[in-house]
Amino acid sequence: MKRRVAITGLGVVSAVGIGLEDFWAGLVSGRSGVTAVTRFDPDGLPVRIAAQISDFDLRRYADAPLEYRRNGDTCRLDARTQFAFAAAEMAVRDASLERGEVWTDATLYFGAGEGDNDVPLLGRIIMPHATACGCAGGAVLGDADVRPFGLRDQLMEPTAPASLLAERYGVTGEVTTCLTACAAGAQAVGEAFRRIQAGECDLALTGGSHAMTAPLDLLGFAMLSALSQRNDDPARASRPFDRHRDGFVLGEGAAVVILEEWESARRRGARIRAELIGYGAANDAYRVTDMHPDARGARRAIVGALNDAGVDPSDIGYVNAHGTSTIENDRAETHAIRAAFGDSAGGVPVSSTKSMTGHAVAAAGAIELVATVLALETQVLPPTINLETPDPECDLDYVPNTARQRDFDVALTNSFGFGGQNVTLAVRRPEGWQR
Amino acid sequence: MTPNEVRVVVTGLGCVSPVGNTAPETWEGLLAGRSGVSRLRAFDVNGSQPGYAAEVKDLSPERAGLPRRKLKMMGRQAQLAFAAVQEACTDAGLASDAAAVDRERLGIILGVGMLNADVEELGRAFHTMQAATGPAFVQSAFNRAAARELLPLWLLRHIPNLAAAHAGIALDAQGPSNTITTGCVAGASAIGEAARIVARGEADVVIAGGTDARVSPLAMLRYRELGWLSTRTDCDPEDVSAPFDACASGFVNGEGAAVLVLEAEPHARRRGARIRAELMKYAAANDANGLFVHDRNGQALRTSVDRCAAALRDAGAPVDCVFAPASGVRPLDSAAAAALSGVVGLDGPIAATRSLLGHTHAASAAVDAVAAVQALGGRRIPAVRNLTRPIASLAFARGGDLPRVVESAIVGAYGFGGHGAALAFRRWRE
Repeated sequence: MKRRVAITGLGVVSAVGIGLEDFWAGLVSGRSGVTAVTRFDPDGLPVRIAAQISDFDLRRYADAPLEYRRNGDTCRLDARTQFAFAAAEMAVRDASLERGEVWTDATLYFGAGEGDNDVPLLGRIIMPHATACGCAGGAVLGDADVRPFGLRDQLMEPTAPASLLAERYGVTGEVTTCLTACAAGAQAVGEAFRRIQAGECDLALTGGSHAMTAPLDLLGFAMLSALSQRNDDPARASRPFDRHRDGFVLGEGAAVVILEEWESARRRGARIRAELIGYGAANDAYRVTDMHPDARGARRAIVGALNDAGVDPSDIGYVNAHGTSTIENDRAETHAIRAAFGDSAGGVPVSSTKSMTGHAVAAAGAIELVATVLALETQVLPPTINLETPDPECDLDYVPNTARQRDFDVALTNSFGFGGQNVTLAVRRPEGWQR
Repeated sequence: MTPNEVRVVVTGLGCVSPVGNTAPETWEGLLAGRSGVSRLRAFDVNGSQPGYAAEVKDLSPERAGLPRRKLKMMGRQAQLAFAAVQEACTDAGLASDAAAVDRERLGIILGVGMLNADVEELGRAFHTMQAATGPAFVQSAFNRAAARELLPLWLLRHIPNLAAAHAGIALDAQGPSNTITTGCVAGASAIGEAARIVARGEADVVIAGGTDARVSPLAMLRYRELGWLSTRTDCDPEDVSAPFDACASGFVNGEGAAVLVLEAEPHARRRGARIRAELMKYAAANDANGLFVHDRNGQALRTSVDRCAAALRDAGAPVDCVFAPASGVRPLDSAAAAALSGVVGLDGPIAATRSLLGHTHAASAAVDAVAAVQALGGRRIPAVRNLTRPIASLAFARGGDLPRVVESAIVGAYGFGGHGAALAFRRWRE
């Protein structure tokens, strides 16, 4: 018999808002977090917009360290790690937990990207040896002192946020980091969910963080023709399911979700925000960047989550879409929902909060789970903004442009990633916890 | 894994390592004490140190089943993983028989490393930038230069989960897939993730292991600056890697990939697969000490290995040997030695294959897992090379025949970020 899993804490850092209140107010009011890039000079890049978090001050959210010191070197922690600290602290407080003993045997499972490349620092290392043919590989090893490159580079490791969170909260159980591109945050939550279900642990800190908004990130995705180039109209660039969309907008942020075994959450009198009831994961095994034309992996992820949750498509009152704002994703996802929902597809509202948050890659799935739980709690569906002229091939109810009230009990959230990774999570309103 | 769950068995092995381009070649190389460390070939270090590494040699794309047209967009770790996965599937009888497994119940989970930027490519961009605006770094000029000089598919070689994606596409593996990034422990973590999925009945077969290719200028620069990479020149390259030795001066940078085919025992039996071993236990823990500081007693490793040893004892199996995660970085080696000093029931040698393979990072535990499975049923464990002044009085593997056949092996993993993990394998018995 599988054990039940409660969601008892949420924390979120996004360009739409930091903290649950701001984030939710932003989503419900249809506020775009996309702006012109100001953190660095984007001139010369084909894409100069992103959903970046400006004026982030970690000290407002957690008394966590801003820098890491080792052997006389000091490095500022990268944005991704700082976002993770803030989101974790919010979630732990939201769950009315503290640091310490409760975490000893907990699971920490995080979907995190790599830290950003420090291009000026790379320039300092490579420029002295750069030629028209590139840079002879070993030349950079001839330089005596490029500190603190080593520390900076090591802090970019994908496991850095999770390991630092383990230290902060005292998690001596298993700490795992996964990096399945755009599905990572949702997959981390799904795997942590399974561990509680199976009795491996009673408590998990999970979610994701990523800040893939540095120059080489914007350039890399732009060269794959994946990004919107609507540079002169940032707030309207991310427009999932709209006929005039031209790609996704990179975003950044973090979300942390506290999962607890149902009975132990009840015993300590925790406020249960929602019940996590289903997880489906399937692989396209088709192409590394393109989704399968029949969206076979996406469809099986959705069906898998429905079956795992033991619910019918007609029970689902809301789907938070992966909804990237690329022609390919939006059509394939629509197709997958139709295939999985059958006759119920027309009646289920589907919205993409990426229209406002941009695409936070490894953090996206976790951020969208937070949005989905808040929708359940408040019985309000966040809209898909910028949906002005629907793509005729995208014919579901996408909750265009304005939030909507709806009575519903069960919701899904989709996360599909580069490499053909597809994840769907299902959540339900908890019994005994009403507005 | 709880008792009423399905048993998880190993039905295939694949490995590309500095001492061999297949699992059997690697095993023979390890038993022969052949070092994979040699003069660095990937690029010219021009007199800088270290001028050696433990590289995979002469991996032929054709022989490894690597599609030429895809090579361009595959990073080296994806290429190494591709070869190892192909070998493992052939070994498991999955490649020849399309009906051997339901592709929707075939998964792939790899532990991968972080790939640094390519200095050659970035060098062209920086040079073009300097030609336009002069010697100083100017972001906008760099942006223009990079847009011109970087290959359009540049990003694809740097996305970590594409190693699993490329191999999974070739196998039409439509089941669960994951990419684990727990640093030097990632290969073991991936095997642990896969074992859970098979034990829970979410897939019939999951290919799991690790891949890493950090023999690159920026990775070497990083590790040298952090003080972990050996730069000694007073001995032959093959004598540098000295895990558990008082003269250890850091690790030798290595690369490789290794995977196991993990399968639900009833499924393996039904299709008549050769069962090579049972994965009895996976355990993991964290030091919770931050990124760089390891517990003096190797707590996360100790906890993990002890749990594996307990699982073997509970099953009535001996604890015959341990593959240790020592790489020649002294504080880490000491912590590992402390962690392995009190393994209850251990009656056999402790191996340290990194003395021959260098540190293959995210692949290291998976390479050891492939070695451990091959050790079962034999009487030999690879000797620890370059061990003259041991830092602890442990029963390090010294070569030669053991008094009895190896029934079980534990693989330990320990590394950056406080991650510890262990795997227990047992010779297959009905």
